[in-house]
Amino acid sequence: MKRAVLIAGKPNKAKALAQALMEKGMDVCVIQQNKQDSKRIAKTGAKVIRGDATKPYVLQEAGIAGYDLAVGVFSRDSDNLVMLELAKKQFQVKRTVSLVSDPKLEPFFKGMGVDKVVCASTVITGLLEQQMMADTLNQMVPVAHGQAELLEISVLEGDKAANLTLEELPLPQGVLVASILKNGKLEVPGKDTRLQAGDELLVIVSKGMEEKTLQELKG
Amino acid sequence: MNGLAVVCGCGRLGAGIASALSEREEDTVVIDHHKDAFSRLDLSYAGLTVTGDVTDLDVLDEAHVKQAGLILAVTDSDNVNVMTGQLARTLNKNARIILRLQDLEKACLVEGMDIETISPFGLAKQDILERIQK
Repeated sequence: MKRAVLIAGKPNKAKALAQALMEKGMDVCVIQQNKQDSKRIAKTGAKVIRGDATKPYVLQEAGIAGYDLAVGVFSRDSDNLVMLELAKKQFQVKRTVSLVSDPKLEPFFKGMGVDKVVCASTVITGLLEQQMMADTLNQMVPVAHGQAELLEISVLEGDKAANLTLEELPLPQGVLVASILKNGKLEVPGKDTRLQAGDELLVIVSKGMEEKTLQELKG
Repeated sequence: MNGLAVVCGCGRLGAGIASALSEREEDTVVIDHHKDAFSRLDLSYAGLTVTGDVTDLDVLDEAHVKQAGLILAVTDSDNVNVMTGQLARTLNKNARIILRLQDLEKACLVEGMDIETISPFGLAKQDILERIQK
């Protein structure tokens, strides 16, 4: 059965999200106040209902009872909260997801029954951090159910690790150099394997040790 | 009344209540996101004013919601009042909390949280019906 999703809030966000979810094969219903926005979004093929999504009778009209998911992308936190609480309490929507402006409100939203809280500023900070690490990383793959990361790291001239053997390298606990690509040849490293500029390392790192590992390798 | 009163929203209703509480020599704080809104307060208002969003935890903290004995959410938005009431309850287990709602259908959202709701529409209806019965 197709999954049914309700989206309400800022028109541009709602439209983009509606399109993305329809591409994933979901049934999407969007609630919008404004006539022009409604028409614009209706062109994507989503079902559009006009009205205030924080009013019970509008949700009733949209027929969202038993929907799988409701997403609130209003700019005001209170609008998202009220809409999602109504969706859950009165219309038995299974999962609710809200945008929030302030990460400090996350526990409160969850306490009020919102299943997933997305804070734009937290997401962007996370992406920035990842981007900053990505400059020194070629690849980063979560493994073992997200408990570890598989990192591909190039050793460059001037790195702290260059010209050290693995034994001399003070890698933190829970970090394993699994293999080394030297001049295009894969080697299984021993403790006296010497790292050189140009080597590519495959490293298995426990979750949370990524930055520390990079620090030890790169200096 | 026990302790501090925090009035969230300084529209006509909020300003009127805050002024009246101050007149009765209650410790009062009134919050509004527009500084200009405080001009609605009586000239004799002796309480505090806090400028900010009443759904912002830092603002509620600054207004001493945690220490309050009475919290009123009387902005012009039902959704803001509901969220402020719920936030206030998570911050303060004992205060008496009263919300103004235009749409009483939303009262179900604060059920079981020991939060009172009043609706100007409901009050007016009741009053009119009582008058025409006489």
